[in-house]
Amino acid sequence: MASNSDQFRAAFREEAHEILVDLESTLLELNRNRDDLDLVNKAFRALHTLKGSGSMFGFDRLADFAHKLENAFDAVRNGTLAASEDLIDLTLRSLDHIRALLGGDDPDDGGLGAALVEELRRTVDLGHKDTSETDPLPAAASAPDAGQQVECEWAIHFAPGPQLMRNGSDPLLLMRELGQMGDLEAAACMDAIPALDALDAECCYIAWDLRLKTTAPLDQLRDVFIFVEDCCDLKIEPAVRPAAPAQVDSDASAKALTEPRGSSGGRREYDAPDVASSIRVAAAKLDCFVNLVGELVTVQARLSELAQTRDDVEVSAVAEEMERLASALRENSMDMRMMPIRGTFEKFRRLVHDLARSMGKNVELIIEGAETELDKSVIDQLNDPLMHLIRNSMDHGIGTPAERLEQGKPGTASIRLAARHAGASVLISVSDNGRGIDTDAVLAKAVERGLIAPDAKLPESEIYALIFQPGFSTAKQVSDISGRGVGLDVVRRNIDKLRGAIDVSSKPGEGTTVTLRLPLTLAIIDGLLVTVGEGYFVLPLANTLECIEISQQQIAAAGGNRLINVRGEVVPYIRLRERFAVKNAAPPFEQVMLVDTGEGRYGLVVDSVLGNCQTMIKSLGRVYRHVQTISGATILGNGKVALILDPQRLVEESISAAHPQVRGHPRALEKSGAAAVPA
Amino acid sequence: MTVTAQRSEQMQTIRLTGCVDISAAAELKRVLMEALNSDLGSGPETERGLSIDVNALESVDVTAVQLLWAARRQAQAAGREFRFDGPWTPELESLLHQAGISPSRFFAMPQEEMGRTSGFQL
Repeated sequence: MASNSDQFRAAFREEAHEILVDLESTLLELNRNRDDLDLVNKAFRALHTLKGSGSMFGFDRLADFAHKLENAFDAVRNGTLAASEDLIDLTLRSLDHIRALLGGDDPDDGGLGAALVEELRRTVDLGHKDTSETDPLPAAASAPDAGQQVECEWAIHFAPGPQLMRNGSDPLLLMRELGQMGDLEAAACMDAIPALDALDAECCYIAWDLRLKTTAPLDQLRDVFIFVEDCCDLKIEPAVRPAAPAQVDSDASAKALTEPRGSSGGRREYDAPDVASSIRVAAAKLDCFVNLVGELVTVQARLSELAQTRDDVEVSAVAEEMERLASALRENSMDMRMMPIRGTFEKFRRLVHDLARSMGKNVELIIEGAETELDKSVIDQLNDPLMHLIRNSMDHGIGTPAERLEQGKPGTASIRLAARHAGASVLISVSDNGRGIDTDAVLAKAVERGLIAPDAKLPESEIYALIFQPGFSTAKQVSDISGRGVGLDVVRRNIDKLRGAIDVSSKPGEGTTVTLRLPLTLAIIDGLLVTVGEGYFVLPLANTLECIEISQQQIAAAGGNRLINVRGEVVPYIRLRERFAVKNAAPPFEQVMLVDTGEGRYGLVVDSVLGNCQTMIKSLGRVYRHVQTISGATILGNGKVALILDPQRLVEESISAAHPQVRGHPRALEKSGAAAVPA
Repeated sequence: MTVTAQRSEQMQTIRLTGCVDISAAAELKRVLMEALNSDLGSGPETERGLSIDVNALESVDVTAVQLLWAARRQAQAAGREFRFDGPWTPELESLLHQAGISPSRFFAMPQEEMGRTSGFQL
């Protein structure tokens, strides 16, 4: 039982955090459209849900606190209180307090909460449109929904389901309980009772229409039905007609009885976002599942290979069927982990709001493509990099309103957070319309720190790359926002970890865009299995464009020029057997795999192409963490290990090896580490 | 709780004692069906009435109410008498009244019958 309730509390916490994120966006939206009643209602409902579920799961303090906020928003809803900036700001701060309460710790033993409540009272006092109101909070509380002392009349339709009696409940006792709350008038509908021989003696066929005049709040009414609400049809609503004797609509009652039980009619409505038909699954379970699917895919590859060597029609048929299923299963399991990036994006509304307030800047956050889906593990690791990028834009990129007006820009700056799919990658960009990157300042700083030679001529992209160096900051002053030089290198590290890439573009005076290119998923990729010497390698299919044959004569004739003519276009290539120092003899024809990288089209020359493979990526472990051209390893059907190549890195490194003088920042260049690893 | 049936010349009596709830529902149904079907085809069966003795009845739940209701409907459809004998306890009367199934309202016989059977004793 205890573990059950812990489980419910955990589920509530999770739900509450989601509600809080939603509520935050709602409040910030409301801050811009103060008169939008829909938003007020949304905020009210969110607070109401927090209060209701909170008290149900024993978060009494939270429920109490949320109740006070709810009252204030009820007043806003009723038009007696204005949705002022102060109120919204105070509510935002209160949400932080609710978060603390959710965590189970009340940092100030109620002090902070009490202070917030007091401030709320003052804000409500000031904000009241009707100045004759002297006691605003109770006034708000007397609204019909929260009505504490006002007598209301409720119309209750109660049709017990077939299971209700078997659960040990007795409608008569429920009715007695209601009767004790006020003036109850009941009308029973007996029409649905079948003939005696057809009657299930343990089933309830009677439905009731009740009228209850009571001062008790709605929640208390609902509590009467709390143990039966899952197996009955229950509607509680304010009675429209005053105290008229309830008419039994036998048709309606009979219909209610034949309708499927437990319809949503009587359930509490939680306005959780998009809960339509989904369940929560622990991320660990999902990880375990995906891992198992990965193993299955590996075994299936092995089976396929065995089937090929056996030359047995029946085994081949099974292997093919298995391959089809494994492939579908893999795609499905990947799909399960896909989540829209909305949650992560929405969180930053608050950050931008708070930072803008504290820095005295006007900044608007524009979110685009929030519905773009990404693997959950990728999303989880995106929070920090995006936060640093946004802080950086807020601090360095965007000037004060005065500065901006001086430059002829609108006083309100904007930061655009956008996501979109591009092949097997997702592009996430953070753009601002601020000052742009001051390349001279970056260069000066880099020279000062000894990162580059004073006379080095760097292309723009290299200069921008400098800002991602650890400890690099051009800020003249360290603020609490940024400037300590910690931050952008964190971005770089995190994105590297995700096998992503960073691209920066900037125009002085117009703004900066940082684009993160991220893989859709981290666990499994579609690849092409190739060989170089005796080693097996996997090239991600997403990067691979086409495959062209090249003969030894062609290679020799080029005389050291590593270029190939592809239908008139000259494409440079990297011969992997040279790159990995493979000793054994090359085949007469090698294969040039054309890959698409951030640097353009390149060829990677391999000995032979074996075919498609679905690959479960396994990490190489800490020992090989400096080997950046290899993004992981996988186990093949024949039990051998294949290394997964990172074409982007291979190309980058070859460029930097060919032009060492333009390298501003030495990267972990592996020399021996990338030598052919025996498969 | 007990449900017992007894026959006499004109009447079949079913005596309900104690607390007749869902645990007795199946038994009550059986007894009621038996009483309603027992004497078909022999003698002046349509004359025979059904009396429910509630003198010793302490409480009921919805299942009992439903069975009695269905039995009454069936008896009346067959033109047979169906009546309650003895006062309901005030607690039971008020419990049922509160639920809108007051015995006097839902199970009352037509007035003349009430008069005719009012003195009935076992």
